[in-house]
Amino acid sequence: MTRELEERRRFLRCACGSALAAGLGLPALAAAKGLPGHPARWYKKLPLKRVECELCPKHCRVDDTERGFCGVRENHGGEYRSLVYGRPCALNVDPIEKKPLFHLMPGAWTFSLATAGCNMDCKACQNWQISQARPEQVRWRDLPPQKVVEASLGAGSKIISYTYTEPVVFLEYVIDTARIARRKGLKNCMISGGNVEVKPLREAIAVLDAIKIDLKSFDETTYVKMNKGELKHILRTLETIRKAGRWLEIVYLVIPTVNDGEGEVKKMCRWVKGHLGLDVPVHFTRFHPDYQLKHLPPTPFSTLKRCHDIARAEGLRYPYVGNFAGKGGEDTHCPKCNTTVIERRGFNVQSNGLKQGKCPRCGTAIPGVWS
Amino acid sequence: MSTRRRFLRHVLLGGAAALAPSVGCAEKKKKSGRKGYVVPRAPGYGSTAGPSGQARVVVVRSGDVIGKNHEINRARLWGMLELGLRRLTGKDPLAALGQWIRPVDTVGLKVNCLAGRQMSTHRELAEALIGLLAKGGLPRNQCIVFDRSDLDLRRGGYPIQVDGRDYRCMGNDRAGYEQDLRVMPSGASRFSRIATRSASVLVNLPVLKDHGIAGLSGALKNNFGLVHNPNKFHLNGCDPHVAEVNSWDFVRNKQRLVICDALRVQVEGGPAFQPAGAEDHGAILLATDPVALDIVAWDLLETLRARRKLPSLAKDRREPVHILTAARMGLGVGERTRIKVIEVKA
Repeated sequence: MTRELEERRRFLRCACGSALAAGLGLPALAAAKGLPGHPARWYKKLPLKRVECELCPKHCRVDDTERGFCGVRENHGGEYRSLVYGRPCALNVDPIEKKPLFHLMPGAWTFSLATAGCNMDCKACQNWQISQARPEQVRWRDLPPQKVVEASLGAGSKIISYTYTEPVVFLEYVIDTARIARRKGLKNCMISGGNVEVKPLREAIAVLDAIKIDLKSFDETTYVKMNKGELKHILRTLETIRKAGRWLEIVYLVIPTVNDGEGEVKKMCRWVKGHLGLDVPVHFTRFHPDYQLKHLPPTPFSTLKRCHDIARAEGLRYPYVGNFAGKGGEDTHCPKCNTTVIERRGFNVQSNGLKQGKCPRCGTAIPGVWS
Repeated sequence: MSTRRRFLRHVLLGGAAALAPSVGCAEKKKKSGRKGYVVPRAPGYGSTAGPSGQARVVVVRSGDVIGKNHEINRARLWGMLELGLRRLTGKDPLAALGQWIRPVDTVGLKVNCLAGRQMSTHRELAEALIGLLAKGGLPRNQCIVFDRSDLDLRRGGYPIQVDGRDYRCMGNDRAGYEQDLRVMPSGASRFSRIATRSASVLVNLPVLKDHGIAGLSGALKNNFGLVHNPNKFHLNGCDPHVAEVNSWDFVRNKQRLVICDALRVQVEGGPAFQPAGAEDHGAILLATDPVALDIVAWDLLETLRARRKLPSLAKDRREPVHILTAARMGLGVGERTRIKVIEVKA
């Protein structure tokens, strides 16, 4: 009975929060015509009014009046402008488990936002309608950083998540919002593909509390072919985050025939163990057919279980199975005594036995951001 | 009521066109022995080379089509267009157009307005073609001038017109893109509804420009304006993305004619307008084969660059390989020995 009540409360809270988010800036809904834009950072000027973007490893050389690969940064006579600063096209209040970030304040609600655009082109993208669109092709709301923070507080969210598309392409907006949010006692997390240059990444790390990186494969060729990115840059991002001491979790979307080979998964787990340590959670999540991969089947549970077991065998302490509720792959276990310390079902936390970040049975510290 | 009138008008115009030798269908009709309209076979690109296997590109130049202040002499331009069509087909201009376009068609004219008024497809060129089509029996409002957005068109000097008796002019942002994705080896895109649905015939009206990434912006590159995400296709000098966008059946089948605006050419610093790199050239290029036209445009651009002592595009590591890829994919003729260039002065 108590559980039912709790679930009802969660539902109501989510619904109210989403309604509040949806209500924000409604009058500002408009086609994005004549965008003046916001000054972009991390670029250098070149002759003939060209610019070279230094935000991500693509280093787009952008001619006057043209845009970079992301489609949201435009060159205006040698001045590079962000067309999405303060203009989110998606706003929701989600459980943090949806990101998924399992070691960041379990059960907390997060105010989630995204703008149009992405600096990759993943064939399995689930949000391609906004990530692969240009700002003028989506409906956006005028929501400057201060308003994001106010909306988040109003929705009762303790965390702001920069998510859904690729926050790297709106990093100026992320950083400015996160700075204000921190002063108000909110946490900030970024859900990213990790295709970013070190300098802007370090600036973002300084204001973020947790980062989740989608590691799309552990094969350079697959990365180029399936994601229009390069594995080496993503690995560099993972190491940079870890070295900076920010909370990091990894999602590995297991796509049948693309990146589900035993050797590849093993190689990835070994790399995580050697370069990031045993405490970084790795989520093996289920693929469902979308965008350019509609011809592939959803990932069978047996494949996810195999990946999970490989990670365990390699010594990783927190492997999870995601997008597959009710199989027990989402629970957090104490690496020492194997007690289930956090029990999850889908996006819901069923029970959380952590005592000040420690296992209630043996007292082993479980790494994460718990409060 | 208007539908009935429209129908009758089409029937009458169609009948007139079918009977009038000046519209050029009669000759074909006689040969084919079919009744009614001679529906031109979907040209694709295989047919653009003609039975001889040779593509034909006409370059029409005029010394006085552009004035000192870059104003266009409309009468001269009209003459250039007529001359070009005559030399391209060996027929009367209206008969030439009648080969590709019927009075029942809706013609999408894809212009290029990215660089603003100074370096866009001249409105005078698009309007001259619309004028000729109207003379041949096509109602003006069955012509749709389009590009990526209303804003681009306005900047290029075009009026936004969505209804009325005159030609229509609007951006893809207004007309919309298909919901369904078209997946290509190098990516996926949603295509302009004007190109896929509204227009039964496409006329490609590019501007000849140097391009910082692709090397050259011509006929093939202009069709990047048909997709919702051209920014995703600029890797690797836009290759093979340009060819892939041009390889779609509806592009190949609907695009019947290419008229490249080289009245003013961006020789260096494109695709944006850079005054120092732009020059008046007073030419238009006509072809049915976009690959062959781009090859000729490439040679022309190299000549103009050499005159300015600029390095060749290859030396500048910007060789427009997308044109060669398109040729390899069978989208047109890429071998210079198989392209007949006809240079005329108006």
